[in-house]
Amino acid sequence: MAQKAKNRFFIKRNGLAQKLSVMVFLIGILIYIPSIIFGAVTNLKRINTELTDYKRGVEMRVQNAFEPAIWNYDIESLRKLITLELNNENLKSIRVSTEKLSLIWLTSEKGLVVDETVAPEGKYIEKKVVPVFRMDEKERVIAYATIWYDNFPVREQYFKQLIYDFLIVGAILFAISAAVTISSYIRLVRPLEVIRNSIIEAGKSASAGKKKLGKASFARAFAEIKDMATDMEDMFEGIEEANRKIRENEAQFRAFFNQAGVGVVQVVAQSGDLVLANQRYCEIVGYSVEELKNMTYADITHKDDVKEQRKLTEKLICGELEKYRLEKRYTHKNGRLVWADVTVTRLWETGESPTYILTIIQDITDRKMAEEKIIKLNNELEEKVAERTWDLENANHELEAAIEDLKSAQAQLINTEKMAVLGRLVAGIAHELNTPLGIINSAGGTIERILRKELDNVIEFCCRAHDDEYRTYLSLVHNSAEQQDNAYKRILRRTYYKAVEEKGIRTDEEIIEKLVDIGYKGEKDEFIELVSNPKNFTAIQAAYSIAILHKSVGMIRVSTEKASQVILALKTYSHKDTNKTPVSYDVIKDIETVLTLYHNQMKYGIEIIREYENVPNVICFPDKLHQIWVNIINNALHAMNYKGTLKIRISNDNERVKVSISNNGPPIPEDIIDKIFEPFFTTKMLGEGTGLGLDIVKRLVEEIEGDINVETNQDETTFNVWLKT
Amino acid sequence: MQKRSAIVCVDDDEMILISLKQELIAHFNGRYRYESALNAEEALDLIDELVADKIYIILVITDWLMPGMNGDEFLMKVHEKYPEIQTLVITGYADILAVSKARQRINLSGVITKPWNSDELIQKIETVIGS
Repeated sequence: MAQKAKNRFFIKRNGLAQKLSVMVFLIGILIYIPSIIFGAVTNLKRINTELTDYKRGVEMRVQNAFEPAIWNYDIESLRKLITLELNNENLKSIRVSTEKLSLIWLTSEKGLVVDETVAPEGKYIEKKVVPVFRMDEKERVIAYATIWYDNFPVREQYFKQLIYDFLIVGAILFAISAAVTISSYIRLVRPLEVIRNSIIEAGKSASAGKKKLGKASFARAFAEIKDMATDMEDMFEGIEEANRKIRENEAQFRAFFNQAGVGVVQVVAQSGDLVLANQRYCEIVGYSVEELKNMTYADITHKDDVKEQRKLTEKLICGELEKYRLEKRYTHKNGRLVWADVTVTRLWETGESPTYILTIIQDITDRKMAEEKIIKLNNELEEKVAERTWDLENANHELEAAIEDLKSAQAQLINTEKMAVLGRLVAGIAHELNTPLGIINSAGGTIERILRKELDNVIEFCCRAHDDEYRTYLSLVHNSAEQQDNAYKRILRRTYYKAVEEKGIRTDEEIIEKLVDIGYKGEKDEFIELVSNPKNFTAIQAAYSIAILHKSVGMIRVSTEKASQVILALKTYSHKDTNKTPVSYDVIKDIETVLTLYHNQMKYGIEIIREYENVPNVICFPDKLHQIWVNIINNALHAMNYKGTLKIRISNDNERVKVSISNNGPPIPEDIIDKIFEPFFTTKMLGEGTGLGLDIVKRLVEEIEGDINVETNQDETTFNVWLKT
Repeated sequence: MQKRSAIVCVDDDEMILISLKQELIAHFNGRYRYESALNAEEALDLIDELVADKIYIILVITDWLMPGMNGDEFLMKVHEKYPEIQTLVITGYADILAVSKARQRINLSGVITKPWNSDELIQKIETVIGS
């Protein structure tokens, strides 16, 4: 089989090679012949030109060079000149003659110059008569030179050249042709011998028993057979190739048709009869191919979908549609519902009568089921969402309620914070009040005692006293008004005791004590004089009683003032402002009130520096303003551990009042500085603070549209509050 | 003749000192010397002076919160130097907690709150000095 294919291949190649070699030969000739003709014509022209030039030269020489010799009848010179000219093969003969006689006539005869009398004749002889003029006189002809040219050598040369060209070209073409032929023979023809031999054999056996074919006729037949065989082989090959392709296509189509993932069915357009269905189609609808052949598509279509498809098919038949697509339901052989995506295409061209319809179906039951499931899930989800929404709404309500609770709790906490601050304040204020109260109480007791026990003595002294005694009494009482340094008093007392001891005066120690107490500060001598006279004792006693009385009353007055100051401050602080709108208020007065309340907590360790500018009133809620200062100052005191410098600067800042409260306690650590205004943030120990202080301060400041910030460094920490004026 | 025993009062408020002295005078009459100082430093000097004068200090009554040296520091020093001296603290209600904490350490005999009640004051003093 392979061998056969090979042979066929070679036969075909052989035919082609022969054509090729002929073509090469023809093309060669076609190219060379015109070129040769062209070359020959050009050559001819060139030769002619050369010849004409030569002839003109000869005639010129004849006219010029021959003239003196003719004029002088110098025949010998003429002979030499003519002989010279006759050396040229193109010149046959020259005759010089006057009108009357011939002077000389020479002819070239086979390379020799001979005297002649007969004009030469021949096909290629050309005769020309040239007049010879007398020197410088163009009109006077002295002789005629008759020249016979011989054109033959030139012609001969020309044709020789032509033939030579033909021969060379012929030889070249022959060589090329021979080369092609040899090459063809070596590469193509030789393998064909096998076939030729086989055909010869076949021919021999075919003619066995019959008359033997002559060798010549066989050769003729062989050539024909060879051509025929070549043609047939080509034809067979074409047919075989076409068949193979058809077979392949059919197999492919069959495989495609049967193994397609989609169901394919051919339907008669008019009747709807099912003609041919593929495997997948059968699987989808559940019927076998044979069963389907007796059915129409309507038989297996779900009854609800028949009408729609019939309508679409009618449109297809009447040419409105070329194809259509729909999703429809089939009824499976087992009664089950099958969803399919159906594509219907007509199998006739426009204008032709309807033949068949091709229907391609795809089982989309799963997808439809999934869709249904999704819809179902979606509905469920919606229900769930609704349910959840309801739950959330409930939760939201609960949260809102919780927020309300928180808000009230927050309000309560804020209140608690206020109360906590108040509590701390009250502790301080209690002391602040207790001290003056204790003094008042004590002074009252003293006064009572004096009035009860000593007043009688004083009155008695006053009634009985002599003038000098009374003077002593008065001066002592007068002195007692002056305040004296405790240490000085002690030194004085020691001095007096020493003096008494030195003088050896017997005196009551009480007298000295009392004198010092009521502020007596007389010189030693004066003192000795005073105490050495016992009569003065009653005056001293009386003066002491009155002085103490004075002092006690003074103490009561001072204490009362102090107490009332504290109470006033407390009253201002706790004043419940019922105003809903902010009012204009003196911020300096407000801060001073707070400082009064904190006086007790600050008096031992805190130095207060006040730098107050003249500032306008601020717009605020006065009761809430205290809380701002109380919290900030309270924090400042705490930060300094009640020892340090509290600086309060009140200044004008860009049409606002800026209150800066600085303490020189340790700086606020960087990591908490952002949190200090947050609620419930505290650095204090558990139970010491609620952590709401600065949060409240911030709220209060913001409530009256103020601003607050904090600056902290190694030297001091400052809270700045800006308030609207 | 100088009295050989004394009661020392320390308070930054002169009026307190005067009142206290009047209370003591009213009750103990001339039985003791009543010395007073306006702050702890002065009080320590005073005590040293009195001791030098061979005056027996039977009691120191001091305020708790004072500028400069505070009550606890002052009493600590007194206790270190003169352990036999009895001490009483007069204080506002707010400082009671702090005083109680320090009480053991400074060998405190008693605490009197401001404002004091005369009878209570005298009773406490008498208890301490064991008269």
